[in-house]
Amino acid sequence: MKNTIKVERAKKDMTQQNLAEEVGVSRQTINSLEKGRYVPSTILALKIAAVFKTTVNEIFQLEKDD
Amino acid sequence: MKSDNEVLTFKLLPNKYKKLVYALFIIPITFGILKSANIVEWEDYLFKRIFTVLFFTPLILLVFTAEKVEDERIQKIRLNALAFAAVYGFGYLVIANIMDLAMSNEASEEIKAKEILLHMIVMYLCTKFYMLRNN
Repeated sequence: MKNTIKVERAKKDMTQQNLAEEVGVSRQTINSLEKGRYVPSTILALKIAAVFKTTVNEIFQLEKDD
Repeated sequence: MKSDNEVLTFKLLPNKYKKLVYALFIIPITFGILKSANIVEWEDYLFKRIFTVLFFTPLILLVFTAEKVEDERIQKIRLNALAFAAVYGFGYLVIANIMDLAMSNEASEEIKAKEILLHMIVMYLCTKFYMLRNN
């Protein structure tokens, strides 16, 4: 699954630490998400989408092999 | 709505106790040094029992101490490391017995539960450490 967290973060001029604090996870978790090494739970995905004031589908997209 | 990690996991020791847990390792180390230097005269069986308790207590506390930020990724890593350590423990038990049979003609010492437990805890901590840095 790919995501646009890094892009959205850049648009809002947020650091990984800022986003991590907003959604209540560690900075390393945001880093893992951005690198595609970790797939978040539905709750975390919804929280991230809420921070960027958009929908989950806008941020997380399925890839062919998913 | 409660997330999976809130529902499925139990309370861990707060992260502030981690340093205290590390400090607790000084006790068995001191105890071992005193025994090996023959400063204290203990019976071997008594020393082994007390050393096991003193050594395993901080080790197990370390396993159940929380990270600075406990989130769903840490919970997943913790579960994966635990599963890996369990599989390793079963494998160790079987392979160690087979190796014992194959290598020695005489009946060697039986593999003890604390030996397997130590292997599993060390494997768990190593796997968790590796996953935290590479996942």
